[in-house]
Amino acid sequence: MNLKSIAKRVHKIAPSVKVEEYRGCVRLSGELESWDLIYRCGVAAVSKGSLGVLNDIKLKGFREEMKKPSLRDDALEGKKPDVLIVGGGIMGCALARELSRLDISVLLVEKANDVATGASSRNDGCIHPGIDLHRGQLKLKYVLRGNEMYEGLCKELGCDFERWAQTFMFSTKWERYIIAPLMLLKGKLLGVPDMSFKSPAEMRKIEPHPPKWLTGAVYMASAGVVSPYKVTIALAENAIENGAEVSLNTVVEGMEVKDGVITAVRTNRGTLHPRIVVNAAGAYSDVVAEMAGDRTFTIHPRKGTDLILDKKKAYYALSSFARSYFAPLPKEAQEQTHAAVGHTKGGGVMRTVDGNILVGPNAVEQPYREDTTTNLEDVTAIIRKQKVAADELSTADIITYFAGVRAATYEEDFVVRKGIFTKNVIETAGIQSPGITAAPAIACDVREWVKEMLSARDRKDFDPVRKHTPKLAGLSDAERAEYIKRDPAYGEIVCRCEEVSKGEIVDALESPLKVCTVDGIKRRVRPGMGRCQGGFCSPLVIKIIAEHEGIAPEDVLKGDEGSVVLYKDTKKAAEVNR
Amino acid sequence: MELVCIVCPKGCHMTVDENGAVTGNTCKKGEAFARSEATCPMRTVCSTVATAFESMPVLPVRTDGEIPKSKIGELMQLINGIRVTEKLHRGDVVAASVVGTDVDLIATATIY
Amino acid sequence: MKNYDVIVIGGGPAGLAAAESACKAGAKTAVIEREARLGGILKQCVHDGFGLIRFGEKLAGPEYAERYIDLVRALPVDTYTLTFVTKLVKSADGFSVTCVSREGMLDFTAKSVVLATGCRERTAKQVLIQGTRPAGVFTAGTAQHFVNLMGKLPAKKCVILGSGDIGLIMARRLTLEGAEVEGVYEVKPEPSGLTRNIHQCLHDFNIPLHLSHTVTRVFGVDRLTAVEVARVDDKMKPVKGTERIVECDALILSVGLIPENELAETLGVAINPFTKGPDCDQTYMSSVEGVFSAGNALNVFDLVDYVSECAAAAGANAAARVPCGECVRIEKGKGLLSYVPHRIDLKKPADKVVFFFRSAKDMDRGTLRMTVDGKEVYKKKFAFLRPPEMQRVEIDFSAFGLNAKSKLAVELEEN
Repeated sequence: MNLKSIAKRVHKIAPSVKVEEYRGCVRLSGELESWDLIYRCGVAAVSKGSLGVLNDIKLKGFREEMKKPSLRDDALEGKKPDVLIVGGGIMGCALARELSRLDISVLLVEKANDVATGASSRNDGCIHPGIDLHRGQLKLKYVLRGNEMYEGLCKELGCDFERWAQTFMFSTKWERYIIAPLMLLKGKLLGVPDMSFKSPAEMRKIEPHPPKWLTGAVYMASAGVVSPYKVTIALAENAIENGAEVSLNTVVEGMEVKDGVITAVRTNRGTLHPRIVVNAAGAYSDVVAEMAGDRTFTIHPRKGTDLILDKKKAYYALSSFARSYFAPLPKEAQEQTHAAVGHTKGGGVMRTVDGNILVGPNAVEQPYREDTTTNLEDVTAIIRKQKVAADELSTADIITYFAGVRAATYEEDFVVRKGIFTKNVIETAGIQSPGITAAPAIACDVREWVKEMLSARDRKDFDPVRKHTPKLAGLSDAERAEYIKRDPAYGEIVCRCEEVSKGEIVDALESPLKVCTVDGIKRRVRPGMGRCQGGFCSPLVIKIIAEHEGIAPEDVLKGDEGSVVLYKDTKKAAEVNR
Repeated sequence: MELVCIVCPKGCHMTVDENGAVTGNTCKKGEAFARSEATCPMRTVCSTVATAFESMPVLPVRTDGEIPKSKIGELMQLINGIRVTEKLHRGDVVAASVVGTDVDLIATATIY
Repeated sequence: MKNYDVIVIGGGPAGLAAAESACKAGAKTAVIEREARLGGILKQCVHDGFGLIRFGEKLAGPEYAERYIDLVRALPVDTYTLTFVTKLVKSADGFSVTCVSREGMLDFTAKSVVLATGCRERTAKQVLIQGTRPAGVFTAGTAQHFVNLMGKLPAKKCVILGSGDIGLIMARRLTLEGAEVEGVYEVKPEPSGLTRNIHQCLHDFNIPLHLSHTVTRVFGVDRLTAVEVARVDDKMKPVKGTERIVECDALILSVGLIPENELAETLGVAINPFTKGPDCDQTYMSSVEGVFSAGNALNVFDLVDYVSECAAAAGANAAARVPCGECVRIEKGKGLLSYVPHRIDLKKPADKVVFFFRSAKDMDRGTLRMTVDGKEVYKKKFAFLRPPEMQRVEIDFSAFGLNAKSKLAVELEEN
């Protein structure tokens, strides 16, 4: 690598930064006052000849405490799993399932009270076609393979999957005649299947409400959509059904590495001695790689906000679409969007697998790995920006919004590899967008590596089909009646907006990875996801959880430890009842 | 003492001086309300009491008439200590002659 | 498959009153209620003030509900509880109604239906509150459910956003139950609730009311730890620099009610932009023949007594199945926020139409005026009009000489 030219680029941005080579990586250190500068230095330090950027520049006065469970016990003390997976996002859960195909012991640890609480539940669930990627990127390889896998995977897991396609819409003639053919050509070179050009007339058949300025569109039929947290949970459940273990509220606090081998992993629940550690720690994956002595990359958290609209507005979009960003917009549309462009990119309007319209996301570089707060400026800017493609969008249709933090590396690619400096670690890091699409394919490669490293064999009794109750509201009346006959609780509607029955909630409480919190139930069977946002059903859900678990309603949490919903009885006299 | 009249929607801003003279009112009813608020304001109190029944952990109750506002705290103490063990019907007396008045505390729902 | 003349969807105060009157009018009637018990939201409204007009007494919510339940139970009305309507479809001679219940899937037919589906509360996200997503953000109705039905306290120290009546009543209720209410914040320059409630729920307990203020942000990762409040300008936008952090463990919202008409919309019922409920004629029939609307699904009322009155009329009309004719719209003029009905069906009786309206702003004196083709046909003076307080007036529209081409308009003039 040419350290001199890298240093020159970095010093143009911030002269005080120290630039050095460290174990084949470019290491930056020092202290700066703005995150923007630190980020730009990181980007400037990317070079083909290095293993990656170690951006250790400190932001002055910045501190972020990792959110950790306070629990301390020795439930895992002395355990020797063949593979320890760190992180219960889609990556970790896909790994757990793939590895449970082998005759080895698999343990996944996750610091939160549920899986899929980070970026895996805070994204749009798009199964990408891969058109925005480049040749040579790991992202491209895994997205193309993952995209192909999804239909079958969702069938096995009992998750909804729809190939509703994605369109990239043009607003000028020159885009139509220059950009569109180039895009189709790029698609062909990359290997993106089923791309075609659509005229405005053809588009109107696909999307009944296209923008007035439409001159044509590139249509990508391979794009799909899933519920990302449902898939993540389903992967974990199927892994558990096949013998993998998932330990929630478990945080990795350190590792002992001797002669390039991890010998011990310290957690709040005891010290483990795994044969292999797979790093799937998302926004903290560089921290875990550092613990393992194998860090060659840096995560720069990129925050994005998505808006969810009422199902009544489902007619806005039957697929997923975005406006091309090549041409300036027609004048009237430009005025609307003026304030929104700038540091954000991409995003669009799409129909979620549950039938809501999702708008967003935007993208903001910021230093926090776990800051999922939302801001009014982001919400209104997203609406303004996407109004251009769907002019009926209005803040009045919003039922909720959320933010997630993408685990991006400066190389803007996934880190999927065996350990370089440490023998028994595997990195599946920097899995940001399109990570949902790619994770199942990445997990297959890792499975092969583990198989070889441990000389493992395929298990004959692996069952890829997850046991589950289908969404009753989606069944025919006759099928639904059958379920109710089996258990009348299937006929008792608890969540009126999403039509969720008590029976489905009880099933979630009896699933292999049961999480007895309001959010846990919400992510699994959707009570509270509708337009009243749990106003009517949250007391009922709390009662059902309390009854089922034999605990008091005030012991039912919303999500993680400390998320108390109810405090106590209002009446002293009620204490007698306990 | 200054107060806003709640007798009718007009909402007159009234003043009651130390001698009990009311100003700012535009009707007799308002004057009476102001005087009663200044001397001994009365309120109906609605709340719930604990029950022994899982299906209905609390039973709604109200005072069957007004009690002095100053006694609300005392009444709530009483209410919080009550635990109903019988299947009461709407209108049944939960506690008779509460906080030194002749007003009863009655159930406003039927335990099911 | 059971066949009814009238199916009432919703067993709250509106549904019960509609069922009672439909049955009394001779219709074979059923009430379908999604919850385990009849009574609707009144079950959790333990405060008093209900029934002054209907029963001449100041009753608590559950008392009012039980009186109606008793009235309905004394009649041959079929009631289905824990029964949820999944499909409502127009058929050749009426409607087919599909429900899910513990007994299985139920299929009914009805010649007419009354939709008494109530309303829901606007949520924190719908008023664009930002920040984290902790436990401790509740709508007032949800908080009321916890306190009044479950006997559980959802807050130790809370901030209430919105001075609507439910918010005010919850301020008193939580205080009585031992929680501290730091203050009630209202984005508008005047309170949204009734003066009586400001007096007896806030003043009695020294709870401050901050007008022209709103909550902009919540803090706390697991449980809410604080909220940010700010003063707003005359466009109700937060003013920079006026932000203040209030430490508390709960935010309770009383920021408006939305009529629930998702079922009505599946039938193509037209929704009035001002009431957000079905656009209706003087018999409370929606734009779809045979579909009637009642209660807060039609229009958010302030008094349950008016809900019962309106719903009883809807129920009787649903039973009577008066043939429809051409309609004359009541065009909205200045000074009015909303009103019902929205049109007069020329074929149906119009001599004793109850006209409910809200003024668009506070008026000490106002004149309600109806005109036909620009000529005044009706005038009535009102004193002390406030948007939170709905006005009721009986109007004889049959005396207006209406025909299909008439231009009927209503306005409220301040004087």
